[in-house]
Amino acid sequence: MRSSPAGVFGLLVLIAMTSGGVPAAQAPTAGLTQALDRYFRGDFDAAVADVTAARDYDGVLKGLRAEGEPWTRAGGPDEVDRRTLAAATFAMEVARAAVLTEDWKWQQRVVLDEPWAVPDAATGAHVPAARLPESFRAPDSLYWRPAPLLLEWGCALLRARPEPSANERLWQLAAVGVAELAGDFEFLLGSPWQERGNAGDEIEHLNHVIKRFPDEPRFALAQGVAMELRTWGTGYRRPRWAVQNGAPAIERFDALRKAPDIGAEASLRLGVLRFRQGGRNLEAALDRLTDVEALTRDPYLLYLARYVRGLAFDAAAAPAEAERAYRGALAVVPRAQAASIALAALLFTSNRPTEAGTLVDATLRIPQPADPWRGYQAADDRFWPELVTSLRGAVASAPAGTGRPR
Amino acid sequence: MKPALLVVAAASLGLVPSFLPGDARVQSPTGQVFRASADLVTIDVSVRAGSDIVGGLTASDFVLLDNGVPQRVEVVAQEAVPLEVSILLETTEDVPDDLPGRTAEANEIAALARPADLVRLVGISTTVRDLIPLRPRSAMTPFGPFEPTGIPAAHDALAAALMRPVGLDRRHLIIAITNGIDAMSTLDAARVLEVARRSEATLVVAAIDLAFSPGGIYTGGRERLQGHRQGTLRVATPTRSTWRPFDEERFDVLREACQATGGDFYLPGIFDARTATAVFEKAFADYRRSYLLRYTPTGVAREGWHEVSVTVPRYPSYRVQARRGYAVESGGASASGTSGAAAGGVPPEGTPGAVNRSAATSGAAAAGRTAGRLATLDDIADAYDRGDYGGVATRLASGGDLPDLARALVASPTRWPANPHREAAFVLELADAAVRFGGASGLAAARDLLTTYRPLVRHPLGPDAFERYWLWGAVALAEGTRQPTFAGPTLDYARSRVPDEPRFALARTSYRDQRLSLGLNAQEGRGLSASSLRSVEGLLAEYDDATRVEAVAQEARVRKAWLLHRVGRDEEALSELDGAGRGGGSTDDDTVGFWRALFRGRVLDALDRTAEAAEAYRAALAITPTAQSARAGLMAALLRSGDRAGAEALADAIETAPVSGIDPWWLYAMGEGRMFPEILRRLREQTR
Repeated sequence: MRSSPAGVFGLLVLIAMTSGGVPAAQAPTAGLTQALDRYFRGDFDAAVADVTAARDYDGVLKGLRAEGEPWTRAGGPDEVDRRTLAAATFAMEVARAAVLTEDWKWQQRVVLDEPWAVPDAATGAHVPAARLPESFRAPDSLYWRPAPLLLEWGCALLRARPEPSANERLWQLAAVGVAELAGDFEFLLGSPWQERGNAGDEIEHLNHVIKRFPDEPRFALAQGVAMELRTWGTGYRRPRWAVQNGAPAIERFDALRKAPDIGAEASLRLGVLRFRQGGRNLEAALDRLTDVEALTRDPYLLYLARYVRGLAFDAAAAPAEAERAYRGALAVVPRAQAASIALAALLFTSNRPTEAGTLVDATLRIPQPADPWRGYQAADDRFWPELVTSLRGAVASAPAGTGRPR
Repeated sequence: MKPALLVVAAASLGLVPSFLPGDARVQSPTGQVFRASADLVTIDVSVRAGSDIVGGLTASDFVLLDNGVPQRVEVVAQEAVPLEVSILLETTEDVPDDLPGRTAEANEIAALARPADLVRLVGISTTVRDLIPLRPRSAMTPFGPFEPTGIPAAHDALAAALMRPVGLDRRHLIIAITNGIDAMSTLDAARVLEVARRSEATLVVAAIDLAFSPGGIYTGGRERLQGHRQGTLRVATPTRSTWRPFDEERFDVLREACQATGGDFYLPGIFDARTATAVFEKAFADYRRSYLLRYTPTGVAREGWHEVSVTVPRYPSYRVQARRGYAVESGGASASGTSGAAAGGVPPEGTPGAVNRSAATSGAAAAGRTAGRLATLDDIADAYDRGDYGGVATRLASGGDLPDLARALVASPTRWPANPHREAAFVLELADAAVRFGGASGLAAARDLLTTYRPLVRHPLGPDAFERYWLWGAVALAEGTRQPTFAGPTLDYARSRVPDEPRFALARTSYRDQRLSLGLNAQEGRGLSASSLRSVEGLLAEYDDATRVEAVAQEARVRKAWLLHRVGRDEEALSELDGAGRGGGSTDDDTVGFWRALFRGRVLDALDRTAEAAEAYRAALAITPTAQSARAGLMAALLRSGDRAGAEALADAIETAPVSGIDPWWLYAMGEGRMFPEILRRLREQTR
């Protein structure tokens, strides 16, 4: 770690701003336990809204760390399971609200092309150096913001139970969806491809989950989705569709494309990657995307497969096939924007502006249907409504842990 | 219906061609009347000397070639032409701090329009949407504030605006407040340029978020903020949750697109006042000083692409901005959003007549979908969609190769992509027809169809209510056939897929019960072989499990009682039947009620309690008066009790009664099969 005063100051500022590195030492507000009580009573939306309105997610995290676990025991042994599920689900709902508006993590990057203040060997005084030797460079560090830490707090609470339950499976499915909505592969997989300055803080959420549910195919798929997230990159001036480090995701999806229940989505995502690679991969992309039609009737997957087929045909200069594919996508989700605009542009530039204009007017009109492509990376977060409904139902009535885990 | 000639305009401050319908008269708000002949093209032209707009030119100054053929033009005062103004406002998280100011500027820009102009506000974010639909400027009220969300689909927004239909008597001016950085769009900048060259609109972009950085590139506010945070403050880079598939900056191409429409792409430093309002004040002023040329094309073919060029030969130093041409569609273009086939376009994948790629290029995947076979399947599906279920049955019964149809259904893209449950219900319909009309091969086809199709019904998270119901239908159909190779595997699958469904558990037990051969010894109460005894005890235990679930308890007790009777344990059987009647599970299933009464009669008969048996048979007949099984039982009981006359009268009634209705006893061995018609009816209703 560098030792310049500016760097130390920066780090102090950072730590002061980061709840993740601060132990839970403060007493929670009374409002938090009231919110948990309210949530437990079934007043779900109001309980979550109470704490998210102030956007004090650090405060919620500290409160849960201090009082969450004792709260699960406050109702006696009969209520422990249900309260545990309630607290974990409450934390997850707050985390998901934070995902939509707050930073997910901070990354401390070391800048090497500036003068550095290093101790002079003779005097001990800090003097500027032209450039820090490469060997001095500390790996980048990650500082998790409240949303991932709330998820991880809930996960730890549930996995402290000796046996995984059906409700925990639902919770973990929802939590993976929230992490995918956040679009961060490092939360799910850790940082196996690069060194981090604070490796001990890595979360590797999927590793926890898969230990609990080794046979759940969606968690295997989630590994591939996380690897795929990495392929998009994060820098500025990134070319359209460029694939970075695609091999792990391609290998993963290829291994899963025959698997029951997730084969269609693995094929789809493999097809998308091949399309993004372009060139001679287009034929393989079309094959995988065509496979989807025979493997599923899930409208979400069918739309995506048809839309990306359209893009692939467009890229291969096959406009008639592209048009057919875009129309097929719109037959699944009428007015969806990605396919609507792709088709409209194709028609407009082939002397058919009337229908193009109609498509455009329709897709811009609100309320708009959700376009699966716009949420492609969010993957299993598409199940959020039904998962959170099931979890709330379990909190409200059914004893937790009664179902059969898969 | 559209007029015979449909023209799309392609123009702008450059070139705006638009055809007006024959004999149409369009009155502008200023009172000027445009008289349109059959095929009238109007084109916007701007002429510049250096950076200054040149005014005062007349029609004779212009030379316009349409597909190389000179045309006779007239000039209409642009000032007289009302506008449609589309204001595009980026509302993404890329520009969070500035959004209130930009919204205020957008309000000011809207106010620049004339009262008769129409104005709309379009938001640019992850999706592009009409925040305020098109309306007269006089009806616009101040809009905002907006919450910054999402990432920019800037290219899609620009292209969408360029492709929008415009009123025939209006010109379209697009003013976009965005930095042009794109992170989500379907279209790349090159496609925006391609669209711009054919659009009738004028596009002006003020990229006011950009700054020229020391590295010689333009950077957006998001990048500058992060650079400042990391480089100056030395604190960590915040990582927002949002997926950002790419980060495309093609300002050069976007500028070319703007200029192709007669507009421009204003980067910081090019305009003096760094406000969007200032940019667009100039744009409005320039626009109103441009020329609107009008002509009726002569000497050229009507349909297709028309290449247009406009020059001012007397002043060769003037720069003329005009679009490259316009398109004339062939007649009958559709206005519907997705029915391209109706518009003469390509049909979508999954619809009749659509040749999917696998069929076209990969024979193996095409699964033998011949045109004739597809037509048959489509014909049946059409009847199904019309609710003509009788017609569906008739078509299925009247021929066609049912196994082939089943295979074609699975191999084809779904006909109901937005409503997969509909197809699932149709599959049961098809399987039922195969069982009823297809003979031995039909039975195998039905089994194969359901086996192949059931993965497509699986919900990704585990069985949901629909999958459970559909499996119930499959179980009912299979059990109704009483074919071990069909019913057994179907029941096993349903039971393993939905282990907590009591109906599947009971169905599997009763199916095995039906297949249990006990022989005469058992019927005469003389004991069972050891293996049979083990089987019986196992089944009785399973029935006991089922009696603990309210939904199936009564049927489980009745079936258990019948098994007990079959092995000569009539006292226990009677106890179960009486228990079923006393609230050992409720049911509104008359069939189960009938069985209970009938079996009580048989058991009481076996116990030589003849009078009570007769009462039990009468109870069964009260439920189903025409049931032969209960009548025969009653007749025998009467005979044994000495009521010969009563027995003979009943025998006469049995002999003379017309055959009507179904004796519920006949359904006993079918298990869930008796439910199939009702399941199918409900699925039809629920999936419409």
